[in-house]
Amino acid sequence: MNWIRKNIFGLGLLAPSIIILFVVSIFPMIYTFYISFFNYYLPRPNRAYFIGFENYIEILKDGMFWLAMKNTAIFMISSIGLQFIFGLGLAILFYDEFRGRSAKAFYLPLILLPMMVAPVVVGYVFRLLYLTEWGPLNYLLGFVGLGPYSWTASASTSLLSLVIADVWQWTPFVTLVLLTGILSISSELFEAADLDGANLWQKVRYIILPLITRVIAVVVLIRMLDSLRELDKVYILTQGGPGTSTTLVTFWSYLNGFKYFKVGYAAAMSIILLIVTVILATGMAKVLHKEEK
Amino acid sequence: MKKLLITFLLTVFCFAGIANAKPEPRPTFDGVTVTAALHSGPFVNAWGPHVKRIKELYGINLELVGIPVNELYDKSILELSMGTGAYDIVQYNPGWVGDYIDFMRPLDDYMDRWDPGWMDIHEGFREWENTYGGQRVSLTMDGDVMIFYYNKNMFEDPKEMADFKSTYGYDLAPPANYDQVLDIQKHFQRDTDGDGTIDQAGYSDPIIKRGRGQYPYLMRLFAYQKEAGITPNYFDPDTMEPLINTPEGVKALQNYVDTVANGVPGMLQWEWSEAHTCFMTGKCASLIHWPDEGLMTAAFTANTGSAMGFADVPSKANMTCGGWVAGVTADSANPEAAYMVLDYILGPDVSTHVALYPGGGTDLFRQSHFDSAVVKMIAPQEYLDAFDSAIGDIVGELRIPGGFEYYDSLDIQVQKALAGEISAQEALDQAAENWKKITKSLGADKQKEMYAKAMGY
Repeated sequence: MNWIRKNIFGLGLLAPSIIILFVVSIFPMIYTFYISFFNYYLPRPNRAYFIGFENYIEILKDGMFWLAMKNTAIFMISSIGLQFIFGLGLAILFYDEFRGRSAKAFYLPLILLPMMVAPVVVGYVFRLLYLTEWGPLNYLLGFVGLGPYSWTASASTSLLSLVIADVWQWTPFVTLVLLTGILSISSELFEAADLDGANLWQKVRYIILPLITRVIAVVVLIRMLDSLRELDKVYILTQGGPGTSTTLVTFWSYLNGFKYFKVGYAAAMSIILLIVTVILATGMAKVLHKEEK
Repeated sequence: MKKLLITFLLTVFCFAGIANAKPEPRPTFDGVTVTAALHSGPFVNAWGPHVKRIKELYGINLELVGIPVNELYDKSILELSMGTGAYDIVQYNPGWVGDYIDFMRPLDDYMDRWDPGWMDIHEGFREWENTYGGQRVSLTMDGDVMIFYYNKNMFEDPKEMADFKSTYGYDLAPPANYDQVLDIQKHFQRDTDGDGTIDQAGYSDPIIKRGRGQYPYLMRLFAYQKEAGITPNYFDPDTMEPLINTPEGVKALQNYVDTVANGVPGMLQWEWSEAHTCFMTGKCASLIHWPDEGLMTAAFTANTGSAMGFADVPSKANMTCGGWVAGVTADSANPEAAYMVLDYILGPDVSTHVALYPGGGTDLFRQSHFDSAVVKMIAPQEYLDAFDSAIGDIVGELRIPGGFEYYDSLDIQVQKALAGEISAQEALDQAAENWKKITKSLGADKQKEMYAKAMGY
């Protein structure tokens, strides 16, 4: 009591943030957890009833859920992998440029541009690019004798189409973060490497990668969490199809919650996703912690 | 004798009273606001010009809220289930009625007092689209049904006819069944400009892409069921056992898969607009589609140099593949005013203008529309006859709770088969399993009862 009286001013300042956090984040999470134990069909809200862990058991037995998880894993690994490779390449390419102020002013907006576009807009732009008959991508590929490909209309290329759109949008972010990491490395190390006659690969292998491991871990973690909640591009580009080839776990959860209105089931799926996210984040945090030691 | 005479006179009097009964005059509602949630674009556009007149006649401020078609179901259900009272009128697909019914107001009382031209609604739509459990709950606002369109130049070309006959052993003509649809698809599939890419198809389904891709399958299912002498059905009405993975169902899906595979590249992602464009530009020799094309014969001829042909869909197994009705919500603060809006816009007089509004998305749905001199001036009689005949062959939508989920879970499996991920049998077995799960989760007995109500058993 005494402590509260003593810190009343500080608590007063914190109160708005705590209230907002509770209303928009903590309460919904608790409520989501609560309704995940109910058979709750939104068009019949008065007929919801408690079913214990049945939603969780159903989800774990649901073939579509596991397929969606598999698709998400493929999407996540390929998308982040490509973003990392291209991002690192571009960061190294821009390393010298960014040490000059004028060049930085020129390149930075160019790099940031795709990130500033809303994911929904990216979806619409790529939908046009991917058109089988009239799409610019197939038109350009035609000049080198390739295609036309049914980018989003074929189960074999649809997930790749999503990956390409995602890589286009988020490689700049990865580039920027990695570039910041590389710029923080003392230039003396590179000069010493030059004196020793090290080539580019050797500099990357023995200087850059070991010294920016923590930055890599952070950027990979952020992109992993983003990929886990990827919805916009799937919704606009493929609607999860053809077949189920691009049904990611968030889209499956969205369908259950907002199209089938199985609110309890969707809530249970969100909780499972939350657990997966926490496991991933903890794993990455351990990597960071290990590095610190 | 005296008693008999009195009874007779009373009876005559009563019937004379009914015959002479005049409808109640329409009331006015000065300053009342009615909000209608409509499919954005076409329907909002077609209703828009009548807002001013409704204000003049009834004093009602009509506000039109446009919602994108693929969000109409979820947005309106969210508002209705939360009881926000945001909408007085909602537009919905008759197939969704199982989920809407608890939130809609029965309209019998209003309709008895102010007849919206009930009997003039085409009998193919009137009862099954608008009544539920014996009560009238909505009014038809769009006469969706499927028509088989074909390019007469392509179908009547002597060389094409001879080639077709020599390959398939029968005359090239509008198909009597879906096996013939596949033959037509294969016959006309070709690379017309020699660039190594197939650019012409014999046929397109109305919509194939994930979202509503189950409809072409269901039309085929009902066609094959009819051919086998089975009454078209989604479930066995006695057991609620799904009928989608029966031999007829598997044949239907295999035909759908083969037809798409023998089309043009990218067909798997076709929405209604791509199918429409393919036919209207002469790249598809035939098409099953909603009735819109029949009012565009001049554009078709200008594009292709051919006349447009019309016929019944194969096996005369038709569906609305959507369709739209509108009802008054139970939580509307002004239900009478809301009804007046429906009565005005969807009534016999004004609805003809709405149906003919360019790009308004409304197809003819009243008998008076088919008899209208203006309609006859615009539309070929051959089209009107095909349209009229098609309405009589409609198998109703799956109007039970969870209707949307049943359709969507079927679509997922159909899409998997179309994409070649699994076989037709595997896809339908999985879909049937999912249907059983949905039925179980919503209560099997309740669903059985609702299905019987919806299908009129």
